[in-house]
Amino acid sequence: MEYPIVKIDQLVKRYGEKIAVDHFSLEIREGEILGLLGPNGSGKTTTINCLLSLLKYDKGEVEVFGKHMTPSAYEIKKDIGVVMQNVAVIDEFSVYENIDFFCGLYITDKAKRKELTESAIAFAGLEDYVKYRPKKLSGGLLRRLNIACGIVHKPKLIIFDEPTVAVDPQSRNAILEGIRRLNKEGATIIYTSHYMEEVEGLCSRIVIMDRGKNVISGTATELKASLKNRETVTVELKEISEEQIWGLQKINHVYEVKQSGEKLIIRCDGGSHNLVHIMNYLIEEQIEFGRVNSELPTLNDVFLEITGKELRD
Amino acid sequence: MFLHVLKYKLKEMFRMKWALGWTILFPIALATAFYFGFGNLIKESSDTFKPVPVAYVTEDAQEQIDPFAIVLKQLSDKDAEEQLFRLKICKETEAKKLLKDEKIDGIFYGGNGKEPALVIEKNGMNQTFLSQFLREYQNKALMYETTGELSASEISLQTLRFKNDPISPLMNFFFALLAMASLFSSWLSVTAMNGISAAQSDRGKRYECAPVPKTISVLAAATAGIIVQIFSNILLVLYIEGVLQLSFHASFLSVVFVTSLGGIIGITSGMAFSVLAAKSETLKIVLPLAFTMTCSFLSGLMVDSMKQFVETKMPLLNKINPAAVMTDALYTLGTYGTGNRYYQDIIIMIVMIIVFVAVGIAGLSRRSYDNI
Repeated sequence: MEYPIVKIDQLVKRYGEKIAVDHFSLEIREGEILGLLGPNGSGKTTTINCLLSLLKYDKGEVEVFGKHMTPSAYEIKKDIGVVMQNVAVIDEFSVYENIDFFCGLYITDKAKRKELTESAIAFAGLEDYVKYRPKKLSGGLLRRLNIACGIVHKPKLIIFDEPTVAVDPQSRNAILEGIRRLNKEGATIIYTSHYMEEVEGLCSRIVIMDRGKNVISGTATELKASLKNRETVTVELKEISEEQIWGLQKINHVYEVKQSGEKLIIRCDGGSHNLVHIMNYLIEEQIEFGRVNSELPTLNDVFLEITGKELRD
Repeated sequence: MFLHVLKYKLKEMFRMKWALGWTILFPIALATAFYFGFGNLIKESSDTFKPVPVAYVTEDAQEQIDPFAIVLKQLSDKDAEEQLFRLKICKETEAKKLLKDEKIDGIFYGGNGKEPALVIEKNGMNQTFLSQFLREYQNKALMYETTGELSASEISLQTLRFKNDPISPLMNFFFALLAMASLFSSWLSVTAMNGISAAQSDRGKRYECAPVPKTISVLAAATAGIIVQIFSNILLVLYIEGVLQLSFHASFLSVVFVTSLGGIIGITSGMAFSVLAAKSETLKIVLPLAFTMTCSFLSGLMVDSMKQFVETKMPLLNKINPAAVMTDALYTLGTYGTGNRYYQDIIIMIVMIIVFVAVGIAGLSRRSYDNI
């Protein structure tokens, strides 16, 4: 496909004086799983609502499947699936009826609808619960029903807005496996979450949003490489002199050494075998030390460095 | 697509226990309570209708040629099978004294080419009956004069075709109950619209992501509500007539027709309310409930003379209160049949439906919002 599946260009959305999305641009290619990260209120959900044409926006352009997205662009909408952050099903319908109802909004052919509904039930592992009403389902099963309703029509583009909130590890694992399967079957995925390890393990590309802007994007490795701190070595020791600390700072790639109680925290800005160089120095200087730990940066570190550590609303 | 949404909306509504309770069971329970309160009085009054004492005052004492006086006299004939009035033709001073002493329930004025008029001292069932009789006479007289079919002097009891089996004024409680039951559907409608609008619920958000034209969604949801409401009204009418054995003095289908129009007003007003209360969950409950109960109260659900009181103080309010118009249509239907006034009520109800639909469609057919 020559055109991007999604193209958002210089999107601006204001709520009165407050700017929610600030000249945000993004392109998503076919087959990608794009992770959209950002603190609360960073503009993720607003961007998705603009992308779906549920929200009016002040400026910019949104294209899906190479066509301009509008509220009545039914040809585009029939190939989009949405899994909402909150469970959005109908309490009065059984599991089967819920999935069949939402499927029927996209598919008019009855036989095809039946086939797709049964396939979505199998996909979500809800075969034993088809006659249950949502109120009788556990939190994990409800999430799976929510997903089944969003993907039943086999869309080409699926938006998952925090689908694993408040589910147990088993259900979370099943949901993530399901998303990988959908992607393998050809769906392009937009995935928002606050769980960094999920995004890191699932997404082929990550965009971090903050204050309505696209702050950084790339693969998890690329994002981590953008950090100054590439490795943190922690050493437990009883005592160390000022000269010895100064000596540690002279080791190649070490840019910061901090003493915190009986712990020495050494930060490196790249390079390789940093741990070996540090331990060799400690042995040479006959410094007694206990446990030594080396940590590589995580996506969480990237996220906190970019978005800051202060609490958000 | 319309049928798919309609089918599932019907399923949803028939499974909403609270909605069925308020739509079907509550009116039936209230009808039962009314029945035990004064059901026997209604049954007796239809068997032993007592003619209403009324005076007629004419300045020129020309009642012999005054068509209104002729009709009054015909309806006061003791030998006639259906006597509606006990008529006293007298001078104004005497009539006023009789009224003050509560010997009569009202004074009709007329003659000398003047529009007939009514004076009453207090509100009550007989006074309501007199007032509605006068209005019906004026409507019919105007119609005959306008069409040129008959001149004023030629209008007689036969041409006016008043029904001779007057309905008990206590039946107004049941008319108001039917109106309340019909308007309750505004609540049902608000709930139905909730599920198809992104501005109102997560379900609505998911729904609006689907390639379904909004007009189809709104119409399907409204149609489902109307079907549920008509079903509920039919049950209520059958219950009142079949189980409680109280007659509406009109055919079953014509009563269902009027109540169905009331149900459509309820559903379409709910569409309008869901637009007005889009952002407030509390308003979504309060608005339809307040609307239904206020309209029903003013139409006489709790106090039988309320409608007459409104008629004397603020007659326009009775014309824009759907419950009052509906009770009026049912009363007119039971008392006079399908006359001018009945059609006037039907037209008013249709206009109300058009207004509510316009507001509802204009607000609900939006597919993109400033804020959700």
